[in-house]
Amino acid sequence: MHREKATALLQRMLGPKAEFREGQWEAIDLAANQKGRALIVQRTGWGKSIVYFIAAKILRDSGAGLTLLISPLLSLMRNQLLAAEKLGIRAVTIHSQNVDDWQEVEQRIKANEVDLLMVSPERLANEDFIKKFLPGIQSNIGMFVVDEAHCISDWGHDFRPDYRRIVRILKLLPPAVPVLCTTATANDRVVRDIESQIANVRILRGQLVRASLKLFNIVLPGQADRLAWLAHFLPKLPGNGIVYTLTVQDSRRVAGWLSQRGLAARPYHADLAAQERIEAEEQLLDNRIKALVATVALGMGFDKPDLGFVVHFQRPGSVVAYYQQVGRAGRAVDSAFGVLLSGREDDEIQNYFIRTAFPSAQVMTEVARELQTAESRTIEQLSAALNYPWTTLERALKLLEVEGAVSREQNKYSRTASRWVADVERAERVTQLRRGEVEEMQRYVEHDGCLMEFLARSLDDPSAGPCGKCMNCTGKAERQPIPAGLIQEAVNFLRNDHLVIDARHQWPKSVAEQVGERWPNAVDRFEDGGRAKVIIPTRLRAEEGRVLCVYGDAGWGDSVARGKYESGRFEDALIEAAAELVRNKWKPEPMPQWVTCVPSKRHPELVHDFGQRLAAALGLPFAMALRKTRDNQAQKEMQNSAAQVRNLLGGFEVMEISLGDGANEFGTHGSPQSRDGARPSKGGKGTSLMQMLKHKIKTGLGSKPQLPELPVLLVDDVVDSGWTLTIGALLLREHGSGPVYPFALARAAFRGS
Amino acid sequence: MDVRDFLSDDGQAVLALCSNFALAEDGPSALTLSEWNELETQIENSSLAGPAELPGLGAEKIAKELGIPEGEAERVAALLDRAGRLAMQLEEVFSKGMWVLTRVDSGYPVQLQHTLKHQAPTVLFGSGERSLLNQAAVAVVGSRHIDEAGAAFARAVGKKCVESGLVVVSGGARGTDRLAMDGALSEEGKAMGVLADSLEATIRKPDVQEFVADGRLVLVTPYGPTAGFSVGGAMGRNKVIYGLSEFAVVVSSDVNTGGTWAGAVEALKGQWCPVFVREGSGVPEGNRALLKKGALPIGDEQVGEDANFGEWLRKQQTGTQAKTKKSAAQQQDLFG
Repeated sequence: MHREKATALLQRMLGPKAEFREGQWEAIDLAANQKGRALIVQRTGWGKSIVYFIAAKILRDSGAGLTLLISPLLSLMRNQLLAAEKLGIRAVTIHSQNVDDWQEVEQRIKANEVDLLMVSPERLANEDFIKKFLPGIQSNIGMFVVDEAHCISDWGHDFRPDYRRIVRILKLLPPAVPVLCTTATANDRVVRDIESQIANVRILRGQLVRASLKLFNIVLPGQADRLAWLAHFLPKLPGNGIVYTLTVQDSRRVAGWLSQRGLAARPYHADLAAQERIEAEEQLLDNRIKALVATVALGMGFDKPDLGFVVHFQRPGSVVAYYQQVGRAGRAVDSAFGVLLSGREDDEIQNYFIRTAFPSAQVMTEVARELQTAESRTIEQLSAALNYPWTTLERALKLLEVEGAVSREQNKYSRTASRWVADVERAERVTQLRRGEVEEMQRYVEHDGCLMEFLARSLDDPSAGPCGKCMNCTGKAERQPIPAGLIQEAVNFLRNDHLVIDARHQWPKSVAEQVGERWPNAVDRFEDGGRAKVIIPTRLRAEEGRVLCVYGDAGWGDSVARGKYESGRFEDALIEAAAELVRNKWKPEPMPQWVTCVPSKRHPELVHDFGQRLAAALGLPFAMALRKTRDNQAQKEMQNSAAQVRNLLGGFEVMEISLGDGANEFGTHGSPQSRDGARPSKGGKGTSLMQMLKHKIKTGLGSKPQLPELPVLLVDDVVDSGWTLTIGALLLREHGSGPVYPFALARAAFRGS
Repeated sequence: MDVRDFLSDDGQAVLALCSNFALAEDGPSALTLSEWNELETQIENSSLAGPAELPGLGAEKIAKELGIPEGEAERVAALLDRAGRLAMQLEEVFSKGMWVLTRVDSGYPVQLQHTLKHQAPTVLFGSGERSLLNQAAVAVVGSRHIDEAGAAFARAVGKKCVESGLVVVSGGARGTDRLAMDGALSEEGKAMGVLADSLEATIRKPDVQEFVADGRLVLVTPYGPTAGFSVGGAMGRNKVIYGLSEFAVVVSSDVNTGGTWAGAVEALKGQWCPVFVREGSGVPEGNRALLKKGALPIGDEQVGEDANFGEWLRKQQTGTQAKTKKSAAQQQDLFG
């Protein structure tokens, strides 16, 4: 098809004045007319989709088969479907959210009524897709389009194992089949890597720099400072935009803060249901909210031409990632802002990501070896056999799958017959690269020259030069002050941002038997729609609990860390805050009438002391009810649920509550009936505890210790998986206790499964 | 594993034309062996360098170049058109540890090509060490139901092959096949299995995987990787077993019925390789009948502890090659 005709198509889609942007026609011609292969490197908004839509149409009109578009994003697909319709292209997609449509799609494919089929990279490996949909495609596949093609490269910042499968498929295609690869972010190293993997590919590159974007870097180590900055400056930024955070937790927290300050903001992250994510995107697109506070889950493909700003709450791990995110702003507006706030926690978070991104050769080898012992295994079974976190096992399996060492059918993994050896070199290479990228971003944040030029050079954009708009070019590097009161309010917000401990109700299947042997009453089997579950009976479960903060975090987290590892004692302010939380914020019902704590052989004083003082602050008696029967390994070294439970089995038992030492119960010496100090007497409750205990002794106890049938607060310093508290509560309940409320000072910073 | 290691561009085209794997539901059927043989000749006689030049030409050009009728050319073009889909389904197969070889690929087993010539299967799916396919091998075949003496013999043959540096080839079926193959593998030897079905399922078994990953067991099938069992399939793969081997040993056979009988008779007729048949007091009828058809006798002595198995086989070969040809000629005279 000639250019004129293609332009006519373009105008049908975009209006009578529309013309091709520079490079668009060349790309279309290469793919559709010359049946060649191209890698298109152009910034977001240039119009890559126009290229492959029109190329697909041209091919279809000339009798070729449908175009297969491989793209990683759900949201992208929705927008694209609408855009394709305008061109008269019959586009369909199959993904996990539109299963109801699959049958219709299958039929339309068979009837040759589909011009464009859009799927995710994961879908290509899906048995159903291969056995049901593919055979329905009667004629050839007219063209392959690979979106976000930088994922093909090891060197790219967004390594996705499923893309290696795409490369293998492309290698199996005869040269006559056209292939278009598109990406908005690829430096020379990535481009060369892609070139080496896909034969005969032409590189079509455009300018990456966004002229309307004004860049700023602001270093504010404390989270409270950055929260205050956001509250103060966000209303001053034009239009609507995105605030990026590195973690889901921060996304929630920042959104919560901004909402509290009266700003229309909502969180956006991978833990939201698909429907919620769609809603959130639409709200931003319609300018009904000021900002989405998002993690990278708001990804490539989300396109809002009039996005007024992109603010980063924390520093991303690479220039490529940063540019991809900040480059969303300023597309179709004259002026937009890109602000990078960086803080104290950035390095730690990046290090965590790097450490956990690539399962070590050791993990992969062990997983491969374990799979050789049976025909197939589920992740569950693997987590019982190997002491690694669930997500680590998942990642290892994914990489093994892509490297051909493992194959998967539903949730069962099997070792294939291929020889496989861990590629230690590659893993190390990529890890080194990532560290280098983090260092580059550290330099960017301190850069005193043109910021846009720094980014452009890093991306090997040949047209890199001073932008004249960033804070360094305009000399606006001076920081504007934030009202001190605002910072204090942010500090208070963080301190009040306490968290919930959900009661566990299910045993990991792989250890259910062991648990049942030890505590036959603690195991209930239960069918849920065909799937057997092993649950903790309701009467033995803990109630919903609370945690004061996240370990090491801004707010109280620092104080907890210091208390645990430096001074060996938690400061008074911490105890006060904990008591405040229990008494005034949480207010569990019925209110606990005594306090006990999780025993520890390693730091017996620390938690015991904390428990006692908290009890005193709450005016409740304290008594040890649990004791350790044997040394086990540090619970935090247990990496998944199965290991965690096993480590605790038989590790605790309930003991007689000690009455003798007054110090134990009330935190003061002296007879239980008289209490010193100004604290209002909660004698009623203390007395009833005493009475119940006395009563029990009089009536003679059974073989096992009996606990008072009163609600109790069970405390620990740090909660991670929650299994210690779960089993502690189970034991207390088993021995007659009333409802058990778990409480911990801190939650471990990065949680396992 | 890079697909370029085993599959050439020519091979890809042959695969698209000849394999039943991943065919379109209402599309044309794959080329049969004889249809491919014909097309191969036509390609050789044309100005095209090889099958790799066919994809993308279109039916009209293909008809012209090869001098074939439009209808046939359309079928060829349609089969080649499925390249994209085929690529995706192939990738799935490869990612599970399997590979594919076609008759035009350099890795295709030499002995097989040499022995069966135009009857050699166009496409072989497989898994494991490909170089084994070109090592000197002995086929060991027999029925699934086998008595003590037969079983002991099968295992012994396997063991003796290892001692002589020969690879055992068999069908992977229960009974004789597995006994012979296990006989070799358990003595640190090597084996080839020619499967009639279920290649994909077979390589998932841990014990099979162990030998395959070790490089001592290679599995092939002339059918698709997920083909199901059929009697025809079981029979059809027998010729591949003989075709891969320098010698064949039949442990026990029925008369005029069963895969072992049919395979042995075909092998004798085609003179694919010297066929030895177990003799002795308790052997089944079929064994005796095969001797009359020209098979050579082999007994417990040849697989005894001190026997030099490989040497003995070779001696028989030179001596009897003339014999075998003569007896075949004699039979023809008898029956006109």
